[in-house]
Amino acid sequence: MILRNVHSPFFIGFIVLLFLTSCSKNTKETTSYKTSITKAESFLESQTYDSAFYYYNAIKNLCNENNDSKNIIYPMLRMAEIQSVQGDLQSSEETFTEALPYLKKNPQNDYLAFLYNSLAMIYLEQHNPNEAFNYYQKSWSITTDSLKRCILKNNIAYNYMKQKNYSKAITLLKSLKNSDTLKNHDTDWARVLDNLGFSYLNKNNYTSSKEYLEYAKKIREKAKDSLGLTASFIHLAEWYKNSNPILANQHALYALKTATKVNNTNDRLEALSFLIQHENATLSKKYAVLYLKLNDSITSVQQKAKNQFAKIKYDSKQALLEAQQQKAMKEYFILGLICFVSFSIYVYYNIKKRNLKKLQETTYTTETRIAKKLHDELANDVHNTITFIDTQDLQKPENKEHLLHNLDTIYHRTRNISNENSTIDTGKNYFENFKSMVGLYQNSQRNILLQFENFYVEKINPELKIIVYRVVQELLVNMNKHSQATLVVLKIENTKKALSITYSDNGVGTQNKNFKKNGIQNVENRIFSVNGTLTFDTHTGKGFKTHISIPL
Amino acid sequence: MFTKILVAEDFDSINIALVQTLQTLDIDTIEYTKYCDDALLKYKKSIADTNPFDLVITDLSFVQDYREVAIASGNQLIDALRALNPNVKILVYSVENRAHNIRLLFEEKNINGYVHKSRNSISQLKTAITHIYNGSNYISPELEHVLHKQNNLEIDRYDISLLQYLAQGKSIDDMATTFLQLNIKPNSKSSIEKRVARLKDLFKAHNNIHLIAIVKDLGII
Repeated sequence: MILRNVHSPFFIGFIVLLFLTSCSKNTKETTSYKTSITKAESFLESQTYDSAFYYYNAIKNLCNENNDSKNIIYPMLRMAEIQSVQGDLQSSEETFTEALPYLKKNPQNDYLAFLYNSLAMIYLEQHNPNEAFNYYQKSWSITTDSLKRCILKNNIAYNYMKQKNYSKAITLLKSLKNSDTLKNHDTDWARVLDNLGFSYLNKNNYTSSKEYLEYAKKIREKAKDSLGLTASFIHLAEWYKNSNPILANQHALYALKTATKVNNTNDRLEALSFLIQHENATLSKKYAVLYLKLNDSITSVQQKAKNQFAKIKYDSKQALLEAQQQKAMKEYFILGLICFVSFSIYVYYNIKKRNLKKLQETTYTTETRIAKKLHDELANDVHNTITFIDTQDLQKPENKEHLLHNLDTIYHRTRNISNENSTIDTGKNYFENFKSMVGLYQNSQRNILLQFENFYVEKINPELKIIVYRVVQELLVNMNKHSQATLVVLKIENTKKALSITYSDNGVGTQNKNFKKNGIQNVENRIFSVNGTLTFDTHTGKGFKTHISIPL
Repeated sequence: MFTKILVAEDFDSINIALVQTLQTLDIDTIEYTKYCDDALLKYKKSIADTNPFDLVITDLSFVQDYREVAIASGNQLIDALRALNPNVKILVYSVENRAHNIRLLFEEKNINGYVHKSRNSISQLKTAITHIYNGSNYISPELEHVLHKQNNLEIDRYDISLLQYLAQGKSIDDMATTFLQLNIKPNSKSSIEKRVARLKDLFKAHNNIHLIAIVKDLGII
């Protein structure tokens, strides 16, 4: 697919030259930039334009992502150049124009001069020499390198030639022909001489024309500049056109051969078109067919290139868009994750705080309960005993006995408070300990009957074991204090779904609506803390019944 | 009588009372300590001197103070002593009154005596030491019931069905027949009569009618 559309033999050198100097100015240090630029340059060198274009586009997008308005210029200029070489002039112009704002932001005269020159070439190619002249002027005004200035001057002269203003072209080219700088650059010098020769030809100055054309040809032959040689042959063919048609055709054939050798389609077409016009009918027909074929291929290749560039651009734009979308999605995801995590942490701490508060409340109630018990059950008795000792004669045996009895009562109450708050073993001894605890409230006057046949202790968790233990204990303490019961029946059973405690005694019961004090209130709190339910059934003289159900 | 007794008890006042009591029994050597660690050390030394203590009296619960201890409770001390000498006589003197815990001391740790700290504990201690010296175990009378399994106040579904049949007005004869048919054991007349008597005893009932009235009131049936 390699097709070199050299719009005019007078421009290529300028581009390459500029870029060789400009190339070193790219200092972007990222690896992806480096790999891409290496690939792009090597593809460009091997004239694999589509791949080169792809990598330059990648660099462009990379710079765009990084908001690097400095390094974006080079790949863009390269892309525009490739488009121009591939004959997609419109896109090339577009790309150049796109690069212009970046260059204005980061003025680099070399690049700018190249850009103006390239635009001028495009306008020239699009048969807009006035616009081309403007841009050549712009390029000229910022170019300082003497060789580049020579080349530009040559380009401007060529522009005049295109406008058929050969006198102006000759004036310009004449000023160039003796430039020392130019003499050291064969191809460029040859171009100037060739252009001068061609201009003289059109001014019908055959002698000077021949002299310069032959001189240029000689330099090009020496330098093996096939590209330039093609131009020389075509121009010489033009020269011989009237005086010696056979020699003219011969030169045109040389041009065709050289152009075919270097695959220069435009020059081939030019040579062919000369031959069609000047050869005999048979040959002319043959050349015409070749011309049409070549022209078709160039059009289709140009169209193909055009489509390809558009596709690469579109694909990379699409990829960029997708990358942005993915980035946005990622950001949303991260944002969501952060929200979720912070919410979880918030909830966790809230629950922890609430639990801590609950625990503190329970601890506080327990503490105050113990304090109240110590006050109610012990302090009073101790005080009574003190008063007793203070006022009575302890030598009397009955007083001593009374004192001992009082102290014994205090001792037992202390024991009870201790038992009510001691640790509960929820391990394998739980059931026996539990029954021992219940047994403590049993005496010669009171029987506590147990229905534990369906109480499967091993099926309930330690927390519930403690609750059952404490609840039963509270009920028994309450019974012991107030009921005067002689019979108590305690039934505990658990199924898969629930645990139930049924308590009933034959004590005095109560009519008092405020019976739920201390102990019973604690029972209720404990049951509610595990979402259980409880019902009381009590009337004066009819005993006290409680049914508790705890879901499992 | 014992000649050498070791006492582990963390309250000075109790220690003084104990030592006074033991002196009335003409015991030659009475050593006491407030820490289980020290008690074990003293016991080890007595073995090393080939003159071990005859009896160790220990509390179950020891108050924790500034001192870091390896053995924190009487239970652990008993285990350590038993490991040194399985035949050492041990008397526990404690406020613990939970039946199960006391039962475990006798059944699993093979203690020789248990005196409950109460009004009469001083006299009980003397009796306990004499009992142990004579080779028998001792437990304070008020806790004696914990060692008897028969103080079982549990009622089962057999008892409930008995009560239900009684409430339906069935005679013992009828019940025996029905139980036999349903293959419920025991179903002999005498065993049923015994169970009914036990229930009357448990529920403090004077007769069958009274028994039914009581269990109805309590909501058992």
